[in-house]
Amino acid sequence: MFALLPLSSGLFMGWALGGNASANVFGAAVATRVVSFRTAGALFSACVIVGAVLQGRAGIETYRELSEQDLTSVVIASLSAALCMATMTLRGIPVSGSQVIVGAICGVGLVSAHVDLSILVRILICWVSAPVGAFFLALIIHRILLVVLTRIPMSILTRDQLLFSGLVVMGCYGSYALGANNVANVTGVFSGHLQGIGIGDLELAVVGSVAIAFGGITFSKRVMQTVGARIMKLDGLTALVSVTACALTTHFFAVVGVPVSTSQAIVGAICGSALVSSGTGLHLDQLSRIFVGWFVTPIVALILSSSLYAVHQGILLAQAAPPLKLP
Amino acid sequence: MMFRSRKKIIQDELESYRELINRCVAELYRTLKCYSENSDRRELKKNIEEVSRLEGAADDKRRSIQVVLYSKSLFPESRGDLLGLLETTDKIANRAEATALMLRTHHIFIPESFRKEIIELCHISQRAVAVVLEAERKLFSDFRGALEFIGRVNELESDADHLEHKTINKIFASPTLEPIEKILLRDVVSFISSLADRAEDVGDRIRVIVAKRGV
Repeated sequence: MFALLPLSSGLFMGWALGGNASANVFGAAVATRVVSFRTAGALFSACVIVGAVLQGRAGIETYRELSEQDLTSVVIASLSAALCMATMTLRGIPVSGSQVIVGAICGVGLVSAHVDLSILVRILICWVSAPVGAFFLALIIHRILLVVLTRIPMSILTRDQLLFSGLVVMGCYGSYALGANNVANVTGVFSGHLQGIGIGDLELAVVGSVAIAFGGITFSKRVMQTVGARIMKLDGLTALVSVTACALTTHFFAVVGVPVSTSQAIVGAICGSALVSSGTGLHLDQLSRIFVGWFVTPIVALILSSSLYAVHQGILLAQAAPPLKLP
Repeated sequence: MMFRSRKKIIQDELESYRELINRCVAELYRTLKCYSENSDRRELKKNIEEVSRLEGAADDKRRSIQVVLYSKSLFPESRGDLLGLLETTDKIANRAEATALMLRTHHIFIPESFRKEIIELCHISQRAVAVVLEAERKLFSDFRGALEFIGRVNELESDADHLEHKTINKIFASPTLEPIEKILLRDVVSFISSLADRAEDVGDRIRVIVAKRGV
């Protein structure tokens, strides 16, 4: 049982991540009462677990390869990430699970001089590509959907019906993609360190996705209402386009094996979709959130984890050194 | 399946609302025609009561639709659009009732020399209302097709405006009418013409509803 203790910080992170990220995929559907919160929670949980189990291991492998670590450094990285996430959330600074955990892993890796720079560069490229990709994807999807919805004669209520159904389907798909992509943020750091007690990557994916699902069910009602209302301020079509572009982007990076931020993906998608529909899609406050996520969050996590790990190593060295002999 | 039945409920309620508005304006036309032909105030009272009854029924229906719109799943923008459309359409029935009541409360007499213009004006306004209600109906089958009807409403409103100005000019040029009779008659003409204006307002809302769904 004690062998599972190191996982607790990861599970806490999974719970917080599920509470926040579920709003990006199901917020619009819940805010418009297309589905009840309970139904959305059930759909979200099921899809997250399926996504994590079927396609979540690629991201877990990426984190394992990012830096060689022992169980102690893993726990320090995970704890630093959880502390960083909690502190920044309490201070109202937007924070991405992916960026926190990568910053923390690199912090520990820097002290022990074990960071694979090629993987780090790949991750950084994916972070930038996620919101930018979602932005352009939203432009294309918006055009296609608009052509379909305007060419076929239909009632305004039928149009709503199609958009409603689309929001539920894309909510499920987005949850699947979230599970596949973000489970690595929760338990990826433990990959290879708990095999002694029979916990491999598949088990980590299951445990991590259950934590995300639990967060989605227990913690996300208010977040869903708030984020959903923000997304729905645009209009039904823009909301569907944003959720679809976010889901596709997240899924793409799940296949690539690099966890990205769904919050940043949806902001990019909203900007793209709003740009097509109203011509004013770029909001500086939203863009500043992305920049904070790109630069501030991983740096804070990196400083925290490297400091904690350096302190830990210093204590070990002090214990190992022979006692000073007084003349 | 669940959504389909909700959609049907909203469509049916709106259809019966449109029917009440249409009947209310048609009843005003009938009232005006009868009154201008025989000036029977007892019959006028009976007809006005029917206009008022239809306006009241339309009000009740509008309130029940508002409840349906809030209880059934709709996007906030669609709910807002339909509520706005209801409010604007309701003003047609209100104006029809106000016009009918004016005839009675102001003891307005329609001279034979103005009968033709006033009946014609009411007929144009009634047609504008009927066409805009058809456009509204189109929103629930092929919403982009509603725009075809809006152009016709604008034409009818323009015709009504033209006839209104012509009639008012003729009223004030009349040597036989007392000044107060002229003012009252002008008010009646303006009220009747404003039915077409209100139909045009509904048309403008429909145009916005369609435009919002085309970008």
